[in-house]
Amino acid sequence: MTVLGWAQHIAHLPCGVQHHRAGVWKILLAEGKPAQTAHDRLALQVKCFDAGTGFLPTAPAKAMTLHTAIAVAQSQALYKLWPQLMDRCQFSLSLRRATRPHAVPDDGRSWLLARKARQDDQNTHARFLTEIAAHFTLPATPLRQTTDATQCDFLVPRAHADRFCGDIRSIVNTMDATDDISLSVTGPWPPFAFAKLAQTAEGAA
Amino acid sequence: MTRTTTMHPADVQQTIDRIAGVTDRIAIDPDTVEQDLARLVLGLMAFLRQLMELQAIRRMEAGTLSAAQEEKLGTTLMKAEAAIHDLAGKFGLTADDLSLDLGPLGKTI
Repeated sequence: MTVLGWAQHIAHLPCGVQHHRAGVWKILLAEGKPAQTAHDRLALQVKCFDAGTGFLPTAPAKAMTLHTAIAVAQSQALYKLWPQLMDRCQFSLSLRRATRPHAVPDDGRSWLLARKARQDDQNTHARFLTEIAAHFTLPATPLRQTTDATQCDFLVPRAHADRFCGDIRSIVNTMDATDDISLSVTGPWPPFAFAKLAQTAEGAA
Repeated sequence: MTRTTTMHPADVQQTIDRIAGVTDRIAIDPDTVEQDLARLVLGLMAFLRQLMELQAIRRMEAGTLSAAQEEKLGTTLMKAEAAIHDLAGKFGLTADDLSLDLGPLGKTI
């Protein structure tokens, strides 16, 4: 059985999802054929999240056993995290250079200069994201750097999801940036980046 | 600035991939012990190589490297990166797999 997460009240389980009761918690499971890959699990978790306001997801990359999920449900950690994440969703912001820079350098000095340019880009992106984050009092993850983008996640009340997108739009319009930087906002997602308890409880189990 | 607050397919895919791969902590599994150990060792090598790259960039910015030294350092770091990625490929690992999650300390690269 594939564990998807925990919920307290979900009125209508989405298609392909069943539950196992553990005290006041419902452990949501993939019905029938197990969700083999992280992407399969993620797809079902998004369905569960859309079906109700209170859903705590497991990490999609990790196939958690039902035994572990029950142990987590019996731990206090879930109760502690619940008030912080209930009725909340995650928005992911990604800032990247819109145009693909230059060909891959083939000599050492050009390569080092290209890496320096990439680092400068990352610093610029980090500055912009930090500036955006400063407008909110919402919980946010630390900035993450990938080869071509800088990202972070915000924990937003679900009722304010539309307002958050509008606020981002307004803030971005006031910012002074070059034309080749693009900002993408994706969401609302289940609060994966903020639901850290499963690992902790599992590690202790 | 391109003011995009919408769902660009590439960004959505990248976000999905990242979220799906979230909390990919270091784990040694009996069935995949070779790959897991390779990931750990190569991840540390990639981390050290990146530290050296940052130091080389700092020295280049400070003007303490001659052109020949810049060329030599750049070539060494470039080849080291390619070698690490080649080795990773032999164990079925991608460059992203070499980013080790150290929990509260964050990711190595």
